[in-house]
Amino acid sequence: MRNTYLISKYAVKELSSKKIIWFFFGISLLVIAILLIVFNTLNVRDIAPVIKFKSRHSEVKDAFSLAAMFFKTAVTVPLFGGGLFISIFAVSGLIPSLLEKGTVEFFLSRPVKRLELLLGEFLGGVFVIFLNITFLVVSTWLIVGIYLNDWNLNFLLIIPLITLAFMVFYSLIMLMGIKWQNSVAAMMVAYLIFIALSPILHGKETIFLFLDGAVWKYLINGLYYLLPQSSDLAGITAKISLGQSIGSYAPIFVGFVQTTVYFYLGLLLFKKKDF
Amino acid sequence: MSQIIEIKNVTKLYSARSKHPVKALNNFTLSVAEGTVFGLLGPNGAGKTTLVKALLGMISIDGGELNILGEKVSDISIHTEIGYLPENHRFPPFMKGVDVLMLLGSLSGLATVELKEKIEFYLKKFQLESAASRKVKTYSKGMMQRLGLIQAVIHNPKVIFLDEPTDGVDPIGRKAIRDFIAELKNEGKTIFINSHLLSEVEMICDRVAIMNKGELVKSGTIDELLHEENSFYVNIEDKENRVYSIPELNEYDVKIEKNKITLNNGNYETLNNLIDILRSKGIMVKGSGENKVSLEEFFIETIDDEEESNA
Ligand SMILES: Nc1ncnc2c1ncn2[C@@H]1O[C@H](COP(=O)(O)OP(=O)(O)OP(=O)(O)O)[C@@H](O)[C@H]1O
Ligand SMILES: [Mg+2]
Repeated sequence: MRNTYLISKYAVKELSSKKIIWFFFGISLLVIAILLIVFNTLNVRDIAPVIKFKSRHSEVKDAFSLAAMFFKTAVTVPLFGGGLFISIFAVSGLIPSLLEKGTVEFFLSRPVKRLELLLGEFLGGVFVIFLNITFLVVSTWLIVGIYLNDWNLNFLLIIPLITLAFMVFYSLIMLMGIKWQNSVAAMMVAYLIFIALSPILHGKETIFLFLDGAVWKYLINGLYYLLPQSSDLAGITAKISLGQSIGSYAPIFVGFVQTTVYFYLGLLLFKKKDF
Repeated sequence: MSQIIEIKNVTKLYSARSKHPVKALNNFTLSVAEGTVFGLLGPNGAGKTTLVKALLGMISIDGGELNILGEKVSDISIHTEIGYLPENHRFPPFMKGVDVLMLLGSLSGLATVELKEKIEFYLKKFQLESAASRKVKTYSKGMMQRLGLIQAVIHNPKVIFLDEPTDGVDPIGRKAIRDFIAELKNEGKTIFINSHLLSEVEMICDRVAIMNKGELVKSGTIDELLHEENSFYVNIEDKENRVYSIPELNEYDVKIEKNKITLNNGNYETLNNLIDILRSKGIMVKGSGENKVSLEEFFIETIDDEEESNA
């Protein structure tokens, strides 16, 4: 336990030495500043009609909740996209730098299990990103609550949800980092999934309209469950922000399973590796 | 004295499943007694680092057995008793020197209070007090090496592996490191050194082993390996070159140089006889003893012989 904690502190230190993490934090501050300016200069009743496009949802009635929905979504959807994008960039170097020849020996020569090393790196990375996400989401929730009197606690579920999406990617990045010891390669694969594959697989029902046949179905379904389902998780994030019910919990469950599996595979690989 | 490091028939193949596996260790057997300063020598690529890493459980082996302090090296709990200075090491550049020591010392199981005292002690000893609060990336090579040495001993281990400990260190720093190794030896620690600086190894090591291409070629104490059999020297002062006109000397297998006589195929008795003759001719004897080769000469000769016998 102590070792895992020490290594996670080390990972936090490494991450906070990177400009990208402070960039993430800076953007969050900027978003909060913009929200505050908007709420202090505009009358919510003036802008409510502008965002009326949401009003077809029957449960939404007054201008305040309409505005609350709008602002929450305006923060969380970019947070999911941009925040994850930045986070992947930030953590992709952690494992390769730990495993670098000349550095890894300092750790492996100590009474530290390889599991503790990996777990520490994982938890440290998750902690930093969690803090960043929490900071922005809680601030948004508070601002929207104060100005629009919308205190829906469900909105805070965004925090574990985006953190989970990050965990799936991070554990996969760790696996690739151990395999290749190359941060750029791991990052590129993660981006490829995040930006292209997951959105495509998210619409797999549409694909099946064009690509019929059992083989295609197996292949695409297989990929869907093998790769991070970030688009599905993004969908849930949007639903929560809009105050809707989550719908299917499957992507959340799959996310946890994938994180565990990627991490475990990484550990197996790490245990066998010569340094 | 008990054997603290035991290496039995160890074989290591890198890339075992590829087309070109590298046999870095080949049926290697060696043991090191407690309290020894042991030097492992060998040309580049001989397998020295591989051996040390195998002893630290960092690489898997393909055969044989490795024990330290009587325990299998796969048991990482023995690492509390082991210190290691890796070759070409690289500290995380974003960390301060003192933070590196805090982290690594804590990982070795030291409690914070004790660790802080030790860090203070060693930083002072190695003149790194002012640098300790700076990021490691600003350190010079010698400073890195000193920091590396501190992290290897901070947890007071019984066995210390030093891979090229004086690499990149200036002569004064090297002397300091040698003195420090002597101190560690006096504390009863076992020290295992990989080095190419043979003159240094000769100064600090009790025993050495020479390896080549993954195999043990020779091992023994420095004295055993370096003394030349039945060869002696006599230093003299002979301003008038009288030594060349002593017929009795022809009865011995001697080589006469300016102020020095080498006696081959001799023993202490013939050496004494020789000295008597010189003295009786009024030649001043200034010193005498057994001839030794330098470790460097011995090393090069050993490796050459090895390569020839393999060819
Ligand atoms: N990770 C690795 N993968 C494949 N081959 C390796 C690996 N590490 C070392 N080798 C090979 O194993 C052999 C022994 O290398 P090792 O580093 O143990 O030598 P060394 O005696 O320490 O050399 P040096 O004096 O240059 O430090 C070399 O042929 C080297 O190329
Ligand atoms: Mg080496």
